[in-house]
Amino acid sequence: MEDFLHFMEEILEAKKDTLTLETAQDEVETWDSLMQLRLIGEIEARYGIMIPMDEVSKLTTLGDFYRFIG
Amino acid sequence: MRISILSNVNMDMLAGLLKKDHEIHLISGYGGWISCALRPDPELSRFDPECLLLLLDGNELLRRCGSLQEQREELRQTKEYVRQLAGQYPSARLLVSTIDVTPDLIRAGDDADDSAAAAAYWEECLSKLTEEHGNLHRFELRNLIADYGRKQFYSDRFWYMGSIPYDMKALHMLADQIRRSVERFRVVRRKVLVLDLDNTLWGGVIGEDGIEGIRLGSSHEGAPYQDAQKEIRKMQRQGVLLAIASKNNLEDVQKVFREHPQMILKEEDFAAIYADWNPKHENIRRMAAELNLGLDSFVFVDDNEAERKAVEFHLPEVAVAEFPADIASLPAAMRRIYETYFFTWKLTDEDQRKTQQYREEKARRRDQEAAASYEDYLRSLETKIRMTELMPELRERAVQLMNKTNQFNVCTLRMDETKLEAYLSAGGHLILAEVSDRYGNSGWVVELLYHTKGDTAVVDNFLMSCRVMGRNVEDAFLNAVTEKLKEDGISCIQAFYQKTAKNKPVESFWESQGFEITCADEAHKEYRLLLDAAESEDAARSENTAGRIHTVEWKS
Repeated sequence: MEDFLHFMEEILEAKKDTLTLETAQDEVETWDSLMQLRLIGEIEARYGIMIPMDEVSKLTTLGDFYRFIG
Repeated sequence: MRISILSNVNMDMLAGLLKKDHEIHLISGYGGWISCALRPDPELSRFDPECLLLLLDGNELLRRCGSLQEQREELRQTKEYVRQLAGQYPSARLLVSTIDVTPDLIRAGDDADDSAAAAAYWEECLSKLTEEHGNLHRFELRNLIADYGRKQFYSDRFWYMGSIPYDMKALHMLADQIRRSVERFRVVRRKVLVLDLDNTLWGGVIGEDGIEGIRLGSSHEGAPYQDAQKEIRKMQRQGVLLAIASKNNLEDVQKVFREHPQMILKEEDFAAIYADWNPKHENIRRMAAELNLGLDSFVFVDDNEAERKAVEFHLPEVAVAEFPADIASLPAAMRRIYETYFFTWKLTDEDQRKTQQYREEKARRRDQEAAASYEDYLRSLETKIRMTELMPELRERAVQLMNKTNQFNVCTLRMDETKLEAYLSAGGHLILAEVSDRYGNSGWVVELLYHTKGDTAVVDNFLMSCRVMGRNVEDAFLNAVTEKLKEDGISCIQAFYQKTAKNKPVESFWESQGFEITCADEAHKEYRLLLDAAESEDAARSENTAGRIHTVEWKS
């Protein structure tokens, strides 16, 4: 999980140790709709998973993404 | 670098990946880039890009074209837009992508696949564009996609979710390729590839294994060496000078070159061969002196790590190439060496004739040593100098020469095509000379830039390739220019010397030409020559120097 959050910090350009699984889209300035797409792409590439397209609009916190890595 | 990315598809994500390293301005999506081509875009002009990168997604571009005919029409139109874009932003470098077109799978199995034809037609269009515009270059999008594979490069999901045709990993790759491409604008091409022999050009050690024992051939374990030699020969044809630094007996080495049936490279492919027992760094230093090139022009290849380390230590300016752990990668390593150290956007005739020219120079030196006097030697050369004002077809060469000449360069004024264009349109003049003699043609090797102020000609730069140094070409050239300026009604020539780390050879050049110093400090000198007074100077010079020995003519 720590690895995941650090990875998210890097992509979202957030300060170290400021993100948790509860962090939501509207709390992070850089997390716009384009970033939403990038998060999906980066997470898929790094963890070798696939997030189905119809799930995408339901992903609003980092925890929602983390679920897929499990 | 300030890069403006133009594309017919959404490139927001790509721009985001690049903005850490470069200033990025983005115009993407349907039609955006075309408007910029058709009329000046104030925002883009304010951004003042150093590089415009046009990324064309082939599938999007040809989406509405049914037949190959329609595709061609669309591509022709696109070419016109690129032309206009190049016209709008003449001071920027323009990178234009090749295109990839995905085959249509819903068609009869035996129907021809047109996708490659469209991509190939765009290649033709691009060739024309790069010919027409010196500052327009290719961006290899199609190869990038082919190398990685379409199935992984394209992403349906990114397309449907965000109008981005490419997958995340693909976008990272694209960003990397862009970083590498713009880096190439800054890299200066090296000139000489210095090669080891044993276990580099062939497998085994010639001194121990003998000519029958070394591994070199068209199959099995000798094949990587032969294929590497083929790549090296290609480099030589791209203007890379080859040299050998090997710890061996020269006779053993010559025997391989002359008698081994599988050798691709021949002795005459090399500008210098050093096969002896001296330390390699000393031999490379000798090569630099012999070829009259700086050590920063050299790249060294050797399988032996100790040799690489020694060269690195003694000659830090020399680039030491990585040697692959697995010999099967040797040909690929050679290709990488070309990419890294010898890449050039455009190849001039000069590049292609380089090895030949260095060999001619060797013959000249032999004769010089044999001649009774220096003047006899000069006379025996039968030098011809052809002078001309800059013509369009010489522009590339003019730019190349002024940017790579270090020693005989009075002001070391560097310009790219764009700056030269601006210089000329502001009234600047550029005179070039081609030098040939009994041994061959040295090409366009002398260059003088000047502008006029009333009846004064101000020499902004004067430079000459080291290739023709020591043959009094500069005297003859300057005489001819002086004559011409006099005919143009010029009565005074102003000139400068601007010291650099490398241009010591011309420190007193203007003095030797009869110019008087009007102002000087440590690094900078200003001179003047009054042309009426120059008559007697001219006469004096022609008596004791060989400036009048050469034949000079103006190209009409």
